[in-house]
Amino acid sequence: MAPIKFENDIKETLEQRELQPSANVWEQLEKQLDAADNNKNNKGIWWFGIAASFVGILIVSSIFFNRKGKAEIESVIVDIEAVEEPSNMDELPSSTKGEEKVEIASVGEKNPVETKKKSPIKGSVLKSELLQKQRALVKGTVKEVVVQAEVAQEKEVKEGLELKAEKLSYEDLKIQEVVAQAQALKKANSTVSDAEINALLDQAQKDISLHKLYNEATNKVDASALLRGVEADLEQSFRDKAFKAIQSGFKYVKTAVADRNN
Amino acid sequence: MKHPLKVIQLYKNEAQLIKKAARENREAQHMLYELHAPKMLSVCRYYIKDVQQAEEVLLNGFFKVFTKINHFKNQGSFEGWIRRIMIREAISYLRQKKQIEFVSDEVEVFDGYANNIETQIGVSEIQGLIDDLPEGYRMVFVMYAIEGYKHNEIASLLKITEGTSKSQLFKARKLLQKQLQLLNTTSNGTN
Repeated sequence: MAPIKFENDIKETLEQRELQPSANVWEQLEKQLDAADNNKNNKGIWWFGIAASFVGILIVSSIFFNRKGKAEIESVIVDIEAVEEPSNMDELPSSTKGEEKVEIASVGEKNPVETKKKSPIKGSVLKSELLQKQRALVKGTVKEVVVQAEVAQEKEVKEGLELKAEKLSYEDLKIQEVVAQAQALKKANSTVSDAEINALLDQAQKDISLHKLYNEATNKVDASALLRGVEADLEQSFRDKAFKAIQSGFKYVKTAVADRNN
Repeated sequence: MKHPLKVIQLYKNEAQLIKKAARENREAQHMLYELHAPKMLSVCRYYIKDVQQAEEVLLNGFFKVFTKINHFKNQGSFEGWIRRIMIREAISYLRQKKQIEFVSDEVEVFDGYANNIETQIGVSEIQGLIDDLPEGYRMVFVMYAIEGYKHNEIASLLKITEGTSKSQLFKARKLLQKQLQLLNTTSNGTN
């Protein structure tokens, strides 16, 4: 259906026409466009807000969880202090006594030789712990603690050391002895050095191990404990000997190879 | 005839304006509006009798133009792109107003039109003749005869069959020819 002439005429005539719209059309259009832009911006702000709040939550939660972890650690520290402080306030050696008692008792039950071998190590661990605790806690309040401990000690002595001696093990008595010595030193010198405490603890350790070996009541030496102690020494010396033998053998072979052409 | 340099300059200017308008530059949008609005109101007026309603369509059309300007890919002229938006907007407007009525009876289509009618009438008379056509006739006639759409395109846009489009065009032509002959007779005073 081809376009006919009058249609072409109509088209040409109409195509040349222009109609000027009224002024308020642009004003209305501008308003609509402004509203659309605002909506778009608002959407952008909303998205930005959502993203920002998400990041904020992440940051806050990470800080919160980090603090929680720290708080847990702190609470552990507080717990230790809480245990330590009363012991220092009431009776400084009691905690040491208790710990050492448990360690030695448990090891002693299983194997007496092990007790002998390990007890110095345990003792040293205890010593270091004790030293750290003393450095951390006792230094500031050493005078009060010592005075209170003295009072407690004197009371204990007065009230009946014999009763306690029956109940307490040799190790406990030894610890009390060490504490008493520490108190005496404290009285004498007003300050107790770490080295002095170490020396006292070493001495006590040696006495305990000797007590294990030698039973004063029956005048008998614990043969198995002594034998195992000696075995440990032998074991060490045998190892040295074997090492020396291997070393000398190696040297011999080495020189033999080096001198084979001479 | 337009000077080629002026055409190139205008094209460059329009391309720059389109870029600025895409960045929501209100001044550029206003300039584009001023450049195309008179022509587009005329286009809207082909379909819609009432000028105020045509302006409403123009407003909605330009709102779509500026909010969808990023969809314009410089394929074809910007004017053609705006024009297509205006036509769709006009169709949609009339559909909303339920002003489109297509006579569904299929009629025999033939090319036996009088092709020698001289149209010595002015643009307002022509617009008057088009306005007098029923909505369905008018839309198909304008889309076919003035916009140059094919029947299948018209059918697709107006959601009618191609047969309906052809029959609407046939009837529109017949009516227009009759009206034109009447006008010529009255203006020339001859039969």
